[in-house]
Amino acid sequence: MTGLKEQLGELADQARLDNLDDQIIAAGRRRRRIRQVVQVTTVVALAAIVLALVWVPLSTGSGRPAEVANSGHPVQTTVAPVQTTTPPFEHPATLSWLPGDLTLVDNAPPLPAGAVGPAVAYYRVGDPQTDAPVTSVGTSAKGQSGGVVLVTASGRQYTFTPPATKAVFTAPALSPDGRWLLQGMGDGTMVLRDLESSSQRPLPLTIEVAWSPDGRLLAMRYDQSLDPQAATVVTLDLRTGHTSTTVVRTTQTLSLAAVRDTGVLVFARPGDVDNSPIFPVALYDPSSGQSLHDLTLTPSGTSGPALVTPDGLTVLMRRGTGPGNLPGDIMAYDIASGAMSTHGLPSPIQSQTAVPDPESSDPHVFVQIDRSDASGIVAVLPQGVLLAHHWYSSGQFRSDLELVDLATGRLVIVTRISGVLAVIGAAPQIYVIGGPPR
Amino acid sequence: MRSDADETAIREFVREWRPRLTRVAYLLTGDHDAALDLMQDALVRVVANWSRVGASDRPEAYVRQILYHEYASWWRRGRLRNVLMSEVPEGTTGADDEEHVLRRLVLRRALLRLTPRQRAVLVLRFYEDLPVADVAETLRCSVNTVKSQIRHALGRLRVLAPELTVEFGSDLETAEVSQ
Repeated sequence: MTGLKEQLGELADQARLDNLDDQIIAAGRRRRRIRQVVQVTTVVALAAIVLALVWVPLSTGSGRPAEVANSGHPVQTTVAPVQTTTPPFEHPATLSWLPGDLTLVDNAPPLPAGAVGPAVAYYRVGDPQTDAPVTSVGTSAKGQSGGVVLVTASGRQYTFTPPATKAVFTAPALSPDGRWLLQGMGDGTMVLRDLESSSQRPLPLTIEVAWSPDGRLLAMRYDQSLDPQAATVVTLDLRTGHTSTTVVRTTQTLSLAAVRDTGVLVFARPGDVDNSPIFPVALYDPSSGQSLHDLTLTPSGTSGPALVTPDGLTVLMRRGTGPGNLPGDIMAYDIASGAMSTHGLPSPIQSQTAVPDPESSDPHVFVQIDRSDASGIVAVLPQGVLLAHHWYSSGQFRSDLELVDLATGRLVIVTRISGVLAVIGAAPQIYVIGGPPR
Repeated sequence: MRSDADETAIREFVREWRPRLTRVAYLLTGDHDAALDLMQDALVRVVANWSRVGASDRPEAYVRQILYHEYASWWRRGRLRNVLMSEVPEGTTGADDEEHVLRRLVLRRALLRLTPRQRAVLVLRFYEDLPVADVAETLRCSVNTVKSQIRHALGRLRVLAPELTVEFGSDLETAEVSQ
């Protein structure tokens, strides 16, 4: 063996022994630094992927991508808006409980005292003889006076009893399952009706109400004292009939925005304070009335009031100034995590600036009007955000219910509406179960 | 951040191991430049992973593994194949007599005609004088595989370089028996 070893050693001694020590050490250091950078980058990338997966878009109801710190200042990671000026009409199977076509009526029979079955929506009728749907702030006389029509799951429509007063809570409220209807009576009281039976329960007049997402709890705010920061909320458990009273004291004037399935009460800035640059949200324990969480959003560039979703988990804001001063994005702030996500909405259908002059018999005489599309959030559903879109086309005022999948930006028409829907502010007056009361 | 002690240890380690690894690399590649590259690649990895090398009970085994794995990856990537195909002429020192030069040429060419794995086991077993078990550990294979590779390698050497096997034929037989 020594012979082979010696031969190999003799051959190995022929190797050129250049001194490369410095180059080797420098290269080793560089490689080490690169590896450290790669490791850190990989960890950050993985963390971002995990966060993105956890915060899947709002449509799945389980989270949304991180975008903002707890300060509420948004950071832009906008989902690309989708141009859908002529969206396809395909009634989604997942929203089959909403009618594919809805013909508005202003002469529907009164809601009978007996069972009519669960409801799916209600709306206020506009008046084609007025400028209600034409002006951006137009309001139908009928809409203001309470011409509210209930749409049942079977497609029947009934006119409501006019609300009690204009000064206090005037909108009816449907439970998320469509079974319960809270409506104001002309005598200053309210009635909670079971639409699947003839039973009903009188209740004092409330100023704000909220349903828990599972339909079990109805929270009603009764406080009408001179102190706007004091709130007395009575929560009615519809399964047991029991009520509990919570007295909370807000740090500023806030409205009852939602009640969670757990009974936690969510207060937020009243929706009619449009010009305020801040949007405070506060959570209260239903047993003690103690504050659980208090935050103030200061979103920039938003338009219109923010909205707490009915589940009390998310604050939605709209941003952008598209044609007709329409907001172009929905910004969703997750109250628990502080994450903000921005979801582009489809561009609004361009408005016509000239319409046939209603005072002229000549159909070729047009007048220039200052009108615009109106698009309001009707509900935040597991399938996406339901918008009511109102516009003028081919000599007619049109309305659609459109579902926007926030994950993909895809928009589909859920319900084509025939007739003139009242518009208050920029919001077509239609409500579907699962959405916030109007 | 590395301490000054680490820097000193790294420099000492490189200075000690560079010539040794270069010789092994030359036996494996048969080419001066390729040997320097292979040695450099291996030592750069050692420096980059110094915390692991320094903490090892047997740093020499770790370094050897790095060198042979680098060598294997060269072969798999085809880099070594190109080196071996280039048939770079052997240089001479002038001090060697003609017989030694001829013997080195024959051995070098014979080694280059072995498979990379056979060349590796011969270098580890006969040049580095490692036990078969350590050869197996370095190459991450079984002891039986090492023995088999040695047997095949020596058999090939007898065919490729009969003049060498005549010169140390008895050694080869001893080596085979001692496995």
